[in-house]
Amino acid sequence: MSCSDYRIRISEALDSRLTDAEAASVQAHLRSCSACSRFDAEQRRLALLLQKADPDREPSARIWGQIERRIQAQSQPIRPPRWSPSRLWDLFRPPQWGYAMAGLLLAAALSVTVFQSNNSAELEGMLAELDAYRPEVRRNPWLPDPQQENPFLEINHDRNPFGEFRSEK
Amino acid sequence: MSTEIGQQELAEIVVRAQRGSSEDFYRLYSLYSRSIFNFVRRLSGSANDAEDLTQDTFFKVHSELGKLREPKQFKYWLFRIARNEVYQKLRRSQRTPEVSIDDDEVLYYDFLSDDSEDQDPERQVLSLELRQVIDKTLGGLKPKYRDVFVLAAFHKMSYEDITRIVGRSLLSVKTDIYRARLALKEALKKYLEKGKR
Repeated sequence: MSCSDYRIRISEALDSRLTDAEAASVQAHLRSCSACSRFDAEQRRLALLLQKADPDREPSARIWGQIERRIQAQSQPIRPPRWSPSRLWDLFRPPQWGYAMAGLLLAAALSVTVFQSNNSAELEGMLAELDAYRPEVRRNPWLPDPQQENPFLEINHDRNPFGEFRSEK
Repeated sequence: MSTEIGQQELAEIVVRAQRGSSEDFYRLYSLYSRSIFNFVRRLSGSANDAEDLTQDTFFKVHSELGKLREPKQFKYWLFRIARNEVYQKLRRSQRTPEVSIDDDEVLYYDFLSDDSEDQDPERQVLSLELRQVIDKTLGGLKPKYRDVFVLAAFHKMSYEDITRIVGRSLLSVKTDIYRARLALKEALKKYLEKGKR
């Protein structure tokens, strides 16, 4: 560790943050480093100076009166939070209700998945059977029959105004 | 009133205050008004501003208390509000604490070895001046150094609690406190010397 690392530790020591091992390591360094030892002494002196020169002061008693007046003027009572995760959780108390509910939801989700996968396997089997019998029949029943002509694409040349225009020309 | 109160007890007081108990809100004020007053005084560098800031902080706490979802976090939330009020006020006024000190006229007293300052008018003046210098020096620090240093050195808060208030990492808090100490040591060097009286 460098001297600047030790100085951060010295600063921490002033705020009583070091473990016994860390404090012992700082003490060992201070015995061998006069610069850090001087820094330690200055910082201890500074801490004492600040404590003596700027102790806590009592706030004026009139502050509360002013707060009270502002609260009354606002006349807005404190409302508990309308919604929060912890309040939502409260709905499921006692906790075992919540666990039971979660278990039920999980079971329902699993059974739907299994049912759907079974259904799709059965459907695939039927389609394979159908393909073997008559492959051309297999198509998506929700799409228009590709073998039928699309009435929207059919061009009636007799009624095509552009065709008539061209023929007049 | 002491701020030494169990987290559970504090949470219960907060919940009752959230439900509209004026008595419990006053209890919260009694528990924390002294800490908040001194915190905002040191951050703003002015005892007069500190009164207004304490008032603004608790008024805001009253208005917003319903939004606090974790009553056990009340203390950190309260200090966060106080800190924001200070910085908003300083931003509005674009002011830093001003103290003029003529170095040549300062007599160097050993402030640390003598407890009899109250009996010596000259020492009282110097002590007041020292307080002003401390206010000015704190005011001259970058805000990120100032708030963590005040919380650690004056309010004796743990670094973990400080991270909850300022929302920065433990490492950042640790190094910012160290840097604040270096800056203060430089600024108060002459007061740290032994008395020459």
